[in-house]
Amino acid sequence: MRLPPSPEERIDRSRTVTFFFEGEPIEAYAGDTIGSALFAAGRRVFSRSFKYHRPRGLLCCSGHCPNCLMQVDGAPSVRVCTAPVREGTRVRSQNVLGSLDRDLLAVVDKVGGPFTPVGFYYRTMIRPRRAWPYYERFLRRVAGLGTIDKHARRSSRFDTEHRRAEVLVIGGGPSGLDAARAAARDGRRVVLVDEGLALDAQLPREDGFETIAPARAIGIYEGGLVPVDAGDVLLRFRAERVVVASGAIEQPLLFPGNDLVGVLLPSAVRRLTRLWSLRPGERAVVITADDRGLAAAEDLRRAGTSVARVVDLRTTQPAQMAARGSHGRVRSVSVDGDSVDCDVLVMSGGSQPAYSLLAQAGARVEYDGTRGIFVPRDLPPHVEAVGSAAGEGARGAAAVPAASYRGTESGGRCFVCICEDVTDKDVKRAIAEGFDSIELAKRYTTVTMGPCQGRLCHLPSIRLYARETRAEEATIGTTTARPPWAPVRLGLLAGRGHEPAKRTSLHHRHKELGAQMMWTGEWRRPHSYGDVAAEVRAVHEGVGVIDVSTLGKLLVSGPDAVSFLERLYPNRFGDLKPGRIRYAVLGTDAGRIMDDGTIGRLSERDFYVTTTSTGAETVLAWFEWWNAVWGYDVSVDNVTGALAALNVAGPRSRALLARLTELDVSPDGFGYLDAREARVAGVPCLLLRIGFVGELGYELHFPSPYAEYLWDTLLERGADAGIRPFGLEPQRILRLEKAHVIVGQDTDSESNALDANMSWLVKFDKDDFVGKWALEHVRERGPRERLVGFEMANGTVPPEGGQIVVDGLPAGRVTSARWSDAVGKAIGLAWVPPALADEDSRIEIRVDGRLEPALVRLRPFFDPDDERLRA
Amino acid sequence: MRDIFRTRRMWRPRGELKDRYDVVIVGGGSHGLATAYYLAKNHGITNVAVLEQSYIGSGAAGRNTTIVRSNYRTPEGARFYQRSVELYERLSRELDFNLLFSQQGHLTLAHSDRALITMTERAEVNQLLGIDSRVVGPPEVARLCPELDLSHDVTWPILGALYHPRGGIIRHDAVVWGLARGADRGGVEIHPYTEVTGIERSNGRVTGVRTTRGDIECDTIVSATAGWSTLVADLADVRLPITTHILQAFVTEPLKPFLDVIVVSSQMHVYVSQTDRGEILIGAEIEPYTTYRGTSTFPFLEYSARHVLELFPQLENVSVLRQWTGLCDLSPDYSPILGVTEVDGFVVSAGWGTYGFKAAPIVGTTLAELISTGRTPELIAPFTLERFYTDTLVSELAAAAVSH
Amino acid sequence: MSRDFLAVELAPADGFEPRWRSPLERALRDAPPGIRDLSRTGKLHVHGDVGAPPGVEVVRVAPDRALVLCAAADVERVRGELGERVVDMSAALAGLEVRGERLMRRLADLDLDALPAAGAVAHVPATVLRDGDAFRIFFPQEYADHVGAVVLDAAAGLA
Repeated sequence: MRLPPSPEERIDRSRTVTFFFEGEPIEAYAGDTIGSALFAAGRRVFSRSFKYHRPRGLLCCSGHCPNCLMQVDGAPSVRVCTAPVREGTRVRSQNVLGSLDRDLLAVVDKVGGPFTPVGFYYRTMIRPRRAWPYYERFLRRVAGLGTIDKHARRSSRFDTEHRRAEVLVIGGGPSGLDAARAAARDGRRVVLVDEGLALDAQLPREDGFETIAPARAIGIYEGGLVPVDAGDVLLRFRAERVVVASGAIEQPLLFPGNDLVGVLLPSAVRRLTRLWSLRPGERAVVITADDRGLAAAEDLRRAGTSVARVVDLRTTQPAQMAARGSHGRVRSVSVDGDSVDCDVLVMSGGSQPAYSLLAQAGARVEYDGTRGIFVPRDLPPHVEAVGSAAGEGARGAAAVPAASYRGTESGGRCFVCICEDVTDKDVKRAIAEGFDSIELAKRYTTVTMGPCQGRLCHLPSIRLYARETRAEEATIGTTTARPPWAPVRLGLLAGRGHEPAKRTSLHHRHKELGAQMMWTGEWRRPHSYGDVAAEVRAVHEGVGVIDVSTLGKLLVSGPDAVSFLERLYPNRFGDLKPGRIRYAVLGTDAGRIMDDGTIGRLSERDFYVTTTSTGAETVLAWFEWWNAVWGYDVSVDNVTGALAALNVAGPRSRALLARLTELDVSPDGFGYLDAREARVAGVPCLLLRIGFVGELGYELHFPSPYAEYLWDTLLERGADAGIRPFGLEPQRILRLEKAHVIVGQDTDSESNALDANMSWLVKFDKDDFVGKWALEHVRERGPRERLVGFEMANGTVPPEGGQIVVDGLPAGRVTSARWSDAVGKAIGLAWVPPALADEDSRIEIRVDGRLEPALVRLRPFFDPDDERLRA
Repeated sequence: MRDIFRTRRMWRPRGELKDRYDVVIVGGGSHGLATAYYLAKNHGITNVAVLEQSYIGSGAAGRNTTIVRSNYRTPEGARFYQRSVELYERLSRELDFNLLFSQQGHLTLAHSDRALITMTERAEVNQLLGIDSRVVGPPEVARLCPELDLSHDVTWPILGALYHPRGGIIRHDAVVWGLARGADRGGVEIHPYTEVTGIERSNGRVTGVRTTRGDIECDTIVSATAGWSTLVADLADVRLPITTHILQAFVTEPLKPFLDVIVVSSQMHVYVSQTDRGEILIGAEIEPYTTYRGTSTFPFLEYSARHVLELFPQLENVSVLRQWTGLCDLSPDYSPILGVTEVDGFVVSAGWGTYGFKAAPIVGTTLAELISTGRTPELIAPFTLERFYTDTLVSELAAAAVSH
Repeated sequence: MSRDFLAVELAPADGFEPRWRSPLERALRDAPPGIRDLSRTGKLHVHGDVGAPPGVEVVRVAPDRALVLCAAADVERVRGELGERVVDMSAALAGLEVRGERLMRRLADLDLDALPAAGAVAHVPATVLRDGDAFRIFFPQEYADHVGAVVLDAAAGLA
């Protein structure tokens, strides 16, 4: 039943909207919230409480309290008092066994029992230990509010928008509007955001500043970042100045029965009567510490509710006060023994500045004893508070006694925190048990940790706590402000969820050829094109091509390039002739292996450095760091993406190349570890004769926009030679046959070049290089473990990561292992104790829980003298 | 059962500081209180004061994400944390305080074959040491956690996981309070809101501490101060190779049971569990920059939300209620620095990174033994400060990208 | 040796006709009007101080480094004019143009009134220039598919 139409009302009686509550259709008007429509349809119980399953009804109607949390279209814990009605929306109650009106779990409230005292779970269910998992399952089932459909997929679109403002005003009440207007007059770029809840929230669209509503600021983070929840868009504001006009939050009173259905805060009365033309009840009592309660009494009278009694705490201080109800709904209120029947009880315990945003921004929050509230102080320079958020006009709380009111008889519960069902007794008990600092008491009772985030319980709990511990509120301090200021959905935070992914210029070619793609760092690369063995064979017998564009590629140039590289790497480069290449391992300052690659000298002062695919960015940063420290005359340019790279490998690779280039590719003209510049199929290339896969081969580095062209040309012109593209998996087998190490797989963050059998890369006679002292130390103390090859005695391939076992304990680990057709054996690389690091040493490797024998091998398994590689 | 209706003090109210204690423990967190508890219980050493600059459990002990597990990479680490898990399993009964230890299982996801190799290594090491730990493929991941999105068309496809059935979550506050009550009943004094401002030494050994409530003489000082470790060690002129970083976490609104296993993804820098209050608890990796300022950041919420929804798209409309930040003391090899230092009588428990909470009971027992006997227990011998001078590191790094 | 292997603009040789392909070609196939592929713009990295030869744009991306933009056909000439410490990055960077402040705000956390600037676009390092309502974005080409997808998706969100 609605009241007669009023000019103030927000509903449009000419348009109806139908939604469903527990499957039943509910008619509402456009402009209703789900909460107001349900109230209009006669619903008074909106939820069941967290622990006791007590019936709870609308309390604040402002989106603060937990009393109207429902599931809306699958979303849990939606505050229906502020959620607009939409056609077809499906609304359900939550945390209920049975129905809202008959919740079987309400027995907890009746019988009490072990689930009532605060912290009961710490003291019970300890023995027998075997029973704990069952207790725990029960505990978990009764905890929690909303439910999640486990099969649901993402269905909403959330966007992220980056905004700038010179002045961002949070809150569109009178003070916020004044601040926005003033700043706009000063010629500032001003944006005002408002939650759209205030009565006067039909915000004027004013010239001079932009207004966004409904939109709720989530927090004030470092760098002036203020994220704003605007429904389906997250507005990430960066503001030079933030004006917080977030208003004040009405506070409840502490008396037995203060959670009964029908107990309302003044805002609920205002909004129900004025916005939605609803009559809150027939007969009301008002107990107030400020003018808000008196205004509510006026609203009630206008709506036709008789106001049976108004208690103004500023003029009378009752010693006793309690509400009594039946079936969870308020039926009467007694004040100093004087009982008045009613179905509405308005309580107003004054209002507390909504300071959370300010506290999070770095303000200190201080208790103002004369007004009985916490007020923000010492605001950071770019943040300002205006209006009641700053504590202006807030009064009334001082009239509220710090203790809770007593009831006439025992039994009525007095709630300090309705989210968590924490009573005044719980707080007193916690203090008596020794939880005698506010943070400890908070953690123990869980007061302020529920969905209202302390809005309605922070002030009362601290005041009660102060009274009980005989401390001054001001000395207690507040609990830490933990953002966000309002609950914010994960979907909105996540936005569109795009993650940057790198692809080589040949990505689509690989997919077209049916490659299975796999992750390597940020890249996706072909595992193989479907036939690993055939791809390996092509490289051994004919020619294969692999996309190695992911290699990091750096140009190091300048007069000091040699000095720079010699100081970075343990190896020597001064004697490297232009047109020649050297393999190099990069070490950390603790002598650990960081990365590896080849370094080609292009000219006296130009070097071309390759890195591992995943190490490129780290190495670049490392180079730039040391370059800045040492101050050499060297420039480092990352040309990783500028150049595609292909490794053409196999005995027929030379013949194929000869068809496509005028370069002399004869063994004498272009030898192993030579670098050349030439056109290949018309594309300018840097050609490197190196051989990670162990066969004659050439790496071609060339401008990436020509990658598909050159790839296509190679496959076309190499078809008669049986050319095959090959993936990472065949490459891993091929390199393992040569016992070539993959840094990051065969080495880890503790490996050093000496133990990894790379001492030929370390020139101790150089003046200095990064990590030299550490490697000298390693040389003196001798190896702790060695990286060796092994072959399995019986052909079983052990798992990578498998353990070398000595006396039943882990003594080393397998880093690589594969079956090799070319070798005819299961082969691998492993770290073993030095005592076992000799040719033919017998080691035992754990495979599926059994120990399998293997023999240590110190030379490459295939072509040990590199005859094919150097051909 | 009847006991729960009676109001009994957990610990004595804070008293005056005495002039002298045998042992002063700096830090009223899980390590400091565990050390105090075991000093009294196992060794009868009760002239002990625990000094805490704020309230007990206010630092890392009250901010961590409560995961307990032992599936470490190094044999030294795995053995050590396994003892800790075993102690935790008994601790509720021992303390007569329910720590709500939920051994629901711990799944570390692999999104690359490189990650699978690391996990295989951990599982093999674990199994050799008798720890229940194994690598499981996608079908078993689906069985253990049907809520996970296992489709291939995602940024981080799930190729398998390291499964650790005895891994679990525990109520962190309960651990602090249970140990504090145990220590208090054993005779130890707990002094909250008592900050250490100096460490007195003479002839290379400690002789006392200065505090904001007066000076105290003592023979032994234990620093168990996590993110503040370097600052406290500085007071004794002991240099620790530790950097302090922040680690962030958040919880959602409470939900009915949704997830009954802990899910960790190193590559996605995220771990997810559901607390027994029903909240989904989501944590991240240690932030790469060093700071003592525990400010929460917004980008953390954004990328964590992005990654969580990639794993659990069902949570799209679930709201975040609170985020917070803790300080982590990170050592170069991600293993702790535990035991004696070059200053006689100055004992440290530091360098824990994200692992400290998991180790509380074993740190307590071993440090108590060390203080009582003067000998370093074998279990913690690999974790001495000296290892950074002799280059005998115990590297958990390969396992540590995110490893809660 | 020189660094000719970095040059994108080729004179045909040896009877081969190398075909240039934009990294954004596939990603922008279904792009709405207003989104243009600029990947063939000439782009040079210059270390140290830069004089601006005629017909080029200079964007300082770091205190000691600038990005020089020019027509593809002019790269060779400009490279010569800029002296020694120049690297041809034409192939390294993809480029695209979008229209509308709102779209740009969904892509980057940048002050759009203070362009050109270097910053993240679609979580990828980029350089952004502004001409009225049009924004030019240059970024590492290996992210082309990703950035293309994000831009189209953001545009669709505003449509």
